[in-house]
Amino acid sequence: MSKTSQDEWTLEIKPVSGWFNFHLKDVWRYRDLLMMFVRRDFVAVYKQTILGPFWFFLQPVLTTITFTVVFGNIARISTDGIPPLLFYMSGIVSWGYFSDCLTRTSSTFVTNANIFGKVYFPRLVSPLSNIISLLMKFGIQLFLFMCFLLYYWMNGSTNVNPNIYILLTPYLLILMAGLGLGFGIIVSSLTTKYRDFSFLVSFGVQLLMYATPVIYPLSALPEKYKWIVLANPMTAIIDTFRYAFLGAGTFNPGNLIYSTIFMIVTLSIGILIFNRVEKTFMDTV
Amino acid sequence: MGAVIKVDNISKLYRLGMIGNRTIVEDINRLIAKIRGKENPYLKVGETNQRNTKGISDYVWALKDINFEVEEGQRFGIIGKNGAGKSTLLKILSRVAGPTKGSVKLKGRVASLLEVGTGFHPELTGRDNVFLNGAILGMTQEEIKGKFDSIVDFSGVERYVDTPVKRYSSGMYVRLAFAVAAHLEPEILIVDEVLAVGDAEFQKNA
Repeated sequence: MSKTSQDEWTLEIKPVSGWFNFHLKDVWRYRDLLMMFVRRDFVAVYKQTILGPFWFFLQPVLTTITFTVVFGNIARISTDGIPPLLFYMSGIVSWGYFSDCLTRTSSTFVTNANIFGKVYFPRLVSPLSNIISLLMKFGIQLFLFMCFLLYYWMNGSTNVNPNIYILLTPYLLILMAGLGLGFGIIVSSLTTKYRDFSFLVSFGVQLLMYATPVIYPLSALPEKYKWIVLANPMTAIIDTFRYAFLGAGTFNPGNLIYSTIFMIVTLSIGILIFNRVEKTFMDTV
Repeated sequence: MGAVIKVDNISKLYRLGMIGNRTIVEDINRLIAKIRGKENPYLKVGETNQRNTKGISDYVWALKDINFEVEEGQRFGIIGKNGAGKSTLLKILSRVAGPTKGSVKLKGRVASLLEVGTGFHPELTGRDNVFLNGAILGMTQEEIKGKFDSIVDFSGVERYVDTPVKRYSSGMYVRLAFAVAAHLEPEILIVDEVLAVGDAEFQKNA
């Protein structure tokens, strides 16, 4: 053990440290734990199921079929001339990532209470590991979507025009992850004290989907309601995603910048609150 | 030989009874007091921590002005009645819960064992759980890899290491969990009643 002088303390525990002490270095030091959590999530989800990882495929396919029947065939909502199957699937896959991020991170403190109560590690590791393990799920579903896309494209469907904007996908993912994480950790911080918020999230996410062009294109919206949908930071993301892969809809850089700023603000507020709560949550959760 | 732990006037306030029914009102009161530059009104209670007598206040000081230092190489034990605040103190030392007042200074890598098998996932195999638990306790992947054989050896459950831990007997479960913990090499180790596990043969090893 190295001899350090009396005043050189490696750690000081005080009642409440400042708002801006983020332990980001600590998070980096615990990156092995982050990867272990990701692995755990991935390995343990479909243990003791027959279909295993195929559920990753089955879930979006069944949802897509349902949406195609209900919204396409029964309600006859326009899809901007895109084959309905592709239209809904693109929305479901991209929206799915955001909503999963949000719902999973929003229960961070409650689901991990027993671990958090016994051992210290930077709490931010938990929601971050959720984001990453969900990314793998998204990757698998994106692959599935591309298979369908390729099928339609090969069969000469003229309305489907994948284009160079596909390169924006990683950026869109960062936006979705940031928004999901930001909102998620705000909610998770608030649920430690008031459980009401967990109820809000579970149906709030569903309602929010209808305020996002997942099941309808922006063009089908009456002018009157357009501003509500455009105020939703997810709108530009889903729309750009669809534009990149299918070539329909709009690509509006301004809206995307709006989403970016929204994401940065949400995430900053989220980390700030999360940091504050992680020190006291054991006494309130 | 300098002090490696220095505990300075640590105090911890707990609220008794139901949490959540009046908290909004209290939060607002607390906020008003803060804005007016006054001390938190709920910190003024002067109750002692007596488990068996009924108090008048809803708040209780689980710890009040605790001071001590631990020297390097020293083993420091804390004993007391149930509810005296031993675990609370250890929770503060291991950064799980924050103190209400006072400060703690620590020197060196800290590992705390408030419970064995923290974060064990029932669906994962023994092997996966060793890695997971090790990581939670603050070991790196390479460290665990290097010590894996000796961990399994120590636990004595080699035969079941690729079986999900939900199929383990509770004794095997604890053995494996403790084996991981025993291979931590921190400069400061905080332990809370975890040594009383396993059968006689296992306790000898520990």
